[in-house]
This record gives sequence, structure tokens and C-alpha cells, in this order.
Amino acid sequence: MARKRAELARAGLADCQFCAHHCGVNRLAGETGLCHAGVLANFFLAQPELTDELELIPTFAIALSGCDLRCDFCITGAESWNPHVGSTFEAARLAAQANAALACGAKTVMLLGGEPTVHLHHALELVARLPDEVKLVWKTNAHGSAQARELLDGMFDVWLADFKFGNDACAQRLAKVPDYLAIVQENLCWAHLHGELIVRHLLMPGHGECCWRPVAAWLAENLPGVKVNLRSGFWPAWKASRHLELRGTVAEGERQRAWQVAGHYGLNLIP
Amino acid sequence: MKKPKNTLSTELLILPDGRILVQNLTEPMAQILRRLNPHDQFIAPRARAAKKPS
Repeated sequence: MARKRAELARAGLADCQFCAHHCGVNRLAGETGLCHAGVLANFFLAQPELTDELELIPTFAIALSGCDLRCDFCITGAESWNPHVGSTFEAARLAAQANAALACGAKTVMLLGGEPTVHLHHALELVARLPDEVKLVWKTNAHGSAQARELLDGMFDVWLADFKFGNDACAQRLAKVPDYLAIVQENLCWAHLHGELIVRHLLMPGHGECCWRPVAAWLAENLPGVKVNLRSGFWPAWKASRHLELRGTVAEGERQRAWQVAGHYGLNLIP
Repeated sequence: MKKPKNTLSTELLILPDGRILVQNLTEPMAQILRRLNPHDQFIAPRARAAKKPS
């Protein structure tokens, strides 16, 4: 089924609607949209990792270059903003590496970016080459389209989705993305219904009240019991210094208040 | 600096107060960080997880 989906996704490049920007460009003809991705994909990292949620590690992480968002604080900004950096994504070769890692004790295989949605056809080609029993993790910014969801349905076991901003103004200012909340919330609700969902929120300095609190409140009301990973290890990477409040790390008091917010809303926090 | 191929990569940010933030934590680096601070709540379980093939 993954092979068939990969073919459908490749055909979809003629009128690219993978993400919620709906650029509609013909990537097969060399046109590019906001993410600048073409037909080929590159990856900038493929290795066993332990940074992620305890229930997912060790994971064999494959990070594809390119993204449809433009987060100034992106920890992998150089690779995420440029889909042409890194090495050529070869599904067969990466599947062999993933299988070797699984044989050595990796529990999962994780596709991430950048944002893997912009390279959906390659991601699905990789899935087609992995054994059915492998636990696959789709690490996403949750800014995909309905078409992407349809192509991804049943392909990954876990959706590890970012919920970065608690309001559209912060999303527009820091990631240059309009209508963020509605799009992400729709994707999260879909993922929750169609598989296992883990929501991640990166606590940003100065955004505890405007972003984390509304995110926590929405999750409590709409996805009660969903697994949430609150990450407080923000560091001022890439172009974060464009924003005064993002020039440092999260203060201890701010971190503690964020945990209190999680407790107030009864969130199911996971490490 | 261009990264050599087929090597593991972890990024660290060491803060003035001694805290270490980690990105792309690999097993070798997890073991090193665990030795530096065996009680760290983020590193310790991850270092242990690396030692448990499923």
C-alpha cells in the first residue's frame, strides 16, 4: 500500500498541495513553492538518537532538508530553510541503514525534517521498503493538508506533532505562517482519531502565557488524555535574535510556571 | 565546517550557569553526559534506554 501511496504522492507533485500553503506549483516541471522543494529530496541527518520521548527511543532518525514553515528560532534552520543541503535521499539505502539500526536495538524509525510532509513521495517510498512490523514515527509540524493526511493514513504508527504557538499572531511573527491555529488543531484532531498522537510543545522564553497556556487549555478541552511532551530546552538558534524575547533560554521561574499550567489543566505529560 | 559522512552528530549548548542543552543526542554522548551528571533527569533514562535492545 505504501508503494501505491508513494506513486500517488509523486503524481501529486504536478499540483503540489502537500502542506496547508496550497501553493499548487508543478514541482515535476521545476516550479517551486514556499518550501523551495523540488522532485528530489535531501537529508541532513540519519542516525540512532536518544533525544526524543522515552517510549520512542532509541530511534533511527532520518531528517529531510526543507520545510514549509520559516520559524526564526529553528534549531536546524540552515537545513530546514534550504531543501537542497545535505545528501541525496535514497530510500533503499536509508531503509538498509534503518534496518541495521533496528537490528542493533532501535525501537522505532522516525522521519522528521525540516518537515517531511514536503517530501511525502520520498517518505512513503521509504515506508514501502521497511518491514511492516517496524514502529514508524511521523515527526511533523502539523501544518499538512487534507491531501497529505489522506496519503499518510495508516502509514505511520505514531504522529509526533508540534503545537508551537498558542495564537496566530505569534505564529505569523515568528514563523511567517497564517491561520496557524485552525490548521494545526485540525491535523491534531485527525491524528488522534487515526492513530497514536504525541503532542510536543517547545516552551519559548516570554511565550508561556501567550502560547503555552492556550495550547495547554485547548489540548485539555479537545484532546483530553493525549500524550504531551513539554520541552523547556529552548536555545536561541538560527535567527532567533531577530526577536528580543528569544535571545536567551527559558528562565527557571518560567519553566516552573509552565509545569504549573500543565498541572492546572491536568495534561498527560510524558518524558 | 562540513560534516564528515557516516559519523554521529550531537549538538551541545553549554550555558554560563553550567547547564548543558542537547540536540540530537546519540548514545556515546549520552554516556559521557551521564558520567558528568549521573542524576540528570533527562539524560539518565535515555542513557539507560540505549543499553536495552528491545
